Amino acid sequence: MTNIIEVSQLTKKFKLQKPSSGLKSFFKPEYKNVTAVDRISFDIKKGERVAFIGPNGAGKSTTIKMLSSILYPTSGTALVNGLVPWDNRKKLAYDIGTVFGQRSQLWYNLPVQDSFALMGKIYDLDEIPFKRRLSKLVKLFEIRDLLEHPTRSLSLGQRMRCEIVASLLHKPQILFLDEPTIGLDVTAKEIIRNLIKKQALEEDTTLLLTSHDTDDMEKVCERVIIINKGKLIFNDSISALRDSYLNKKYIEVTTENGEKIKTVVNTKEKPAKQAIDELVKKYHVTDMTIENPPMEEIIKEIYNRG
Amino acid sequence: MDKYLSLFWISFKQAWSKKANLSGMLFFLFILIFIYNCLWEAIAAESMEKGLNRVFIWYLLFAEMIILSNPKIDRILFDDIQSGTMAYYINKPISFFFMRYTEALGNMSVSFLIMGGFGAVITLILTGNPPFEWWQFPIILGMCFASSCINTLLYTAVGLCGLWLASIRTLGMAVERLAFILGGAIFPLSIYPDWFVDIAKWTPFYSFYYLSIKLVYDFSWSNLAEAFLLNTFWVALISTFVVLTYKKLTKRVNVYGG
Amino acid sequence: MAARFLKLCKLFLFIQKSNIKTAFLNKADALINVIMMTINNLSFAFMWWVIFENKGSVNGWQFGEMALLFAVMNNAFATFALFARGIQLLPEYIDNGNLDNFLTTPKNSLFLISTSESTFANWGDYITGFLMYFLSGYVNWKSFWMMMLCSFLAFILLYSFRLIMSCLAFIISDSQRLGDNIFMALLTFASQPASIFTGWYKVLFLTIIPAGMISFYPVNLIKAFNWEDFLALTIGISIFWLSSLLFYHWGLKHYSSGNRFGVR
Repeated sequence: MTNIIEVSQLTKKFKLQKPSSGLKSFFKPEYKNVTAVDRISFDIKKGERVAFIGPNGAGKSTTIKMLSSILYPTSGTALVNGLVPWDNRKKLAYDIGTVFGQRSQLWYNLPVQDSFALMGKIYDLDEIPFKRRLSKLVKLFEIRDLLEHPTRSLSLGQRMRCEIVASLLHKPQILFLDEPTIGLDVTAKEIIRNLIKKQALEEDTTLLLTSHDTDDMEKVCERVIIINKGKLIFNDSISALRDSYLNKKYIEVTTENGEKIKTVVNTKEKPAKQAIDELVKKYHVTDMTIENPPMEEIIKEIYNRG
Repeated sequence: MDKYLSLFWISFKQAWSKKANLSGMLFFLFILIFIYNCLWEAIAAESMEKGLNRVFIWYLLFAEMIILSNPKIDRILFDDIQSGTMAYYINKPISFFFMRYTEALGNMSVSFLIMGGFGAVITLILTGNPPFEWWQFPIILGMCFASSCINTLLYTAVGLCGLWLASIRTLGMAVERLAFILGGAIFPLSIYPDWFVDIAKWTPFYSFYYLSIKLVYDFSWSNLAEAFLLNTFWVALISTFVVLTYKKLTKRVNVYGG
Repeated sequence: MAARFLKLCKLFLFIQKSNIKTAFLNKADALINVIMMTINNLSFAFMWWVIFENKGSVNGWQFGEMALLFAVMNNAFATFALFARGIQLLPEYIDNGNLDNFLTTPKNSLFLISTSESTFANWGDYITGFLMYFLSGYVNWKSFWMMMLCSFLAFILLYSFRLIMSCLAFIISDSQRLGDNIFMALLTFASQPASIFTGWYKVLFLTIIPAGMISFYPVNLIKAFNWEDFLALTIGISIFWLSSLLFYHWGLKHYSSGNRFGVR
């Protein structure tokens, strides 16, 4: 299979204005240079679903924005579907879809369906194929009931489903999702994840998803790229990550008298079921949570193992 | 009272630190003074009335200090009403309305003072000494500051009209235009035809703006008393409107939840 | 090229249709706003009528000239506010990163930004514009078409000037108010009798502060066409138009998608 995205030595530096309120800073603001993305290289094959993971401020969004032609890099190159994104903005736009979790591409005051119609016009979609496409997506993402409401009246989870539909109307080959589950509750997160995956499998869409939530990548993607402080520190399949880093589970049980007991289980050595059985046998368990190690923990481990 | 005082200071300091805002405002004030100085000089030259610009530009300065220091409270309140932010304050031990109003006053005071200082220097250079006596200055300044507080109150009323209107942009503009014309906030009412002044007298704009600013070139104790009394009357009226509307608003928020 | 232009026109019409549709969701409100805007403008004209009644002419300008100026100015501003007002929001889009959404579409981003906001009330400006033309005392077919052309050129100037101001946001933070103020200053300069600026002020007025391109040249041209003024006007506006586009494209290269002012 061919690479649909090729990134080589991509770097982005920002000049940050130091916030201060003195009179001096008004006339002569101070700047400091920050390297948001530091010589990153990777490839993505057609139809692959890749998660871009890292803590806040790691450079995930910056990378996605360079690949989706929003930002110009400081140095390095990238090819997306055979095009250099920042030089072929309009041409590339037909091939890619973008969803930014913290921003909306829908018109705030317009009913959702009007926003879709406007999107269709912007992407030069013909009337009949557009309607067919829309009704398919509406069914897939279960948003029939939302179509007549203006965007501003939607909940975040509902809005996100509409955002994703809007970005899929022109049937892009590549979908960039920047923090699509940010701010959502557990149920809404689950719904969004399932829908994203279902759609990608159905249409063989290449997916590049950023998140600081490890669950997002586990549920949706096959491969994971981890970056921290602008540097690429891990690039392999999810199963490889799971084998070596995600095999720890954090189990917390609450006993009858309100006591909380935390244990860490290495699932390679001991299956989770066995660990839970032991806990249940030992205590009168009234409540239980099982969690993956947090992002910071995984990154620390990756560094520790060199 | 204590909490409102600290709110006032916080917004005062915040407004003070917004250098871009302030410099933009001063720039605009400069432009206005400059343009109208050109205009009055041209008119003075043609009609042989020397020194026309000196009186009218000092007048304009005080007028613009009131008009331009408007802290846009109408839009803030309108957004609060439309977005439902207001509902979150209803269970707090502070009156949402007075909170916004004091914040706006803090904001306004900074603009008013800075414009006053800067504008006085510009006007002094461009036209010469002010038309009033120096001892009258604190009284005029005080009256104009009061006018500016009233101006803020007026825009509060505009913002509260968001209860009925889908947009208050044009209403806000209309009020500004009325202040310009009926309140004489660009050209003093003394140059308008008599029939027009007679109409203007019946509106609050006449007393809110013109009566205070007029003191700049026509200071007398009787004028001061007139300004004071008429303003008190109109402020009482507008305050009643504001309080009633606000009560209605709170009731609606209580019922519908914002 | 022609096909692309045609598509853009269709999109333009589509956007305008939805704007009007949205405004008409509340018909009474829309109409009241239009009427109020008209009254606003007329009251301003009234103020100037008083001045001219009182003081006669100002360096050769009388109310007729002023009325022509208001015609051009209101029509140009109406066009701006109805079809291109979004450019005023560009600093906000730049600061909060919403520009991203415009950049990932296959259409001209400037076009989409410009049409992203429209204030229906400004139809009242067209009403005032034409009314003032008919009150000016210079009514004939030739002057009418000249007035239309000058209004369009003045719109291009307003747009270019506002774009330049908006693009400041690529360089400095929180520039929304600054841009608004300078734009307001231009409008204020342009809505005075052009004759009050003399000497060096007049040179500035016709060049760097291009208010003269809205007031001075158009009024002269509508009264009596002459090639010198016409060329000066078109060349001046072209320079502003081109520099605004260059600035915008330079800005896009330096755009940082909301990352610039990150608190770290």
